[in-house]
Amino acid sequence: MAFNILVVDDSETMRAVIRKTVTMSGVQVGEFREAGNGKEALLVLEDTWMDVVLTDINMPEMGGVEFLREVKKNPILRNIPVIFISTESSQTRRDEVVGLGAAAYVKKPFMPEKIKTVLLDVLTKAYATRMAAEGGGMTPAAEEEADF
Amino acid sequence: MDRIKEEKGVIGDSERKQLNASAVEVFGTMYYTPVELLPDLPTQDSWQVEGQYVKTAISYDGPRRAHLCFYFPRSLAVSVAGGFLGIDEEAVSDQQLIDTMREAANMIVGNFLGQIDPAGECILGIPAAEVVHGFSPEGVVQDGELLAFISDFGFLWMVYNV
Repeated sequence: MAFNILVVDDSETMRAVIRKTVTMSGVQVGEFREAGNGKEALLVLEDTWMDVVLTDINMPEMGGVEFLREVKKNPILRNIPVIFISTESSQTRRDEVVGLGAAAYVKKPFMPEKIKTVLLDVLTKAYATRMAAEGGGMTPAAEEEADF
Repeated sequence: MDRIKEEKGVIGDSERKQLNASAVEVFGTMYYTPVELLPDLPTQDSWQVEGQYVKTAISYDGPRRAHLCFYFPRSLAVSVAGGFLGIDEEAVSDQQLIDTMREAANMIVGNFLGQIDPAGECILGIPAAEVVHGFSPEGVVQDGELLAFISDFGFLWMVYNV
């Protein structure tokens, strides 16, 4: 099963690195979309279903925290897992985004393996929830193991 | 003591160590490039200067505030951006240099802030970067406290100001 993934970061180079990391993680990617801030990300979500969003916090126009609030307010989007990848490393900020419903928090700088682990974990949980509703299927982590 | 130094516009000893730890972690983890903050400025006769630098400025504000301006040698920026993006160094554009070094400064200062402001009360600004010609450490020393990091590409300079 392929997953649609949205990466939100005002740094084009960071988006490229995350894209490369995700591609190398073994997760089957359907559509890969990018946005430079939260506002752009909401526009993407208006026209394309995304299975997971990876977002920075500190961005112009609309930061990651405000973006998450908007996602959670929307009944159609609220169950999309949002993973934060940010330089902001204070426990207070982590607690804030987790309290708002973030699926996970990864601190920059990161090792590619960390992104892979977190992404597989989050997608596996989301997938299991969906399959429980629909019945049957192999989780992303199991699919990745089966590829070896 | 460090807060007194900070109020005078001078970085404190523990902040100096935390800033170094952040820079070492960011450059080591993301760019596989060692850097090290020098305890003292190198003697002026050893100040090799390149033709171009990527100037990157970033601030944080709140209970503590500071403005940090990095001057990355172009050769360092090209090596880092090429490796980061997985492209030949000859193919790296100025925009990619700017974008990569903005992110580097963002990560260094973001991590630094996480250590000195664990309650998360300070707000980190959006970094701004540009390629500059004719940089000299003498030309910026009046802007704040001048610090130098050593790297395989010569000195990486930083001005700290409150």
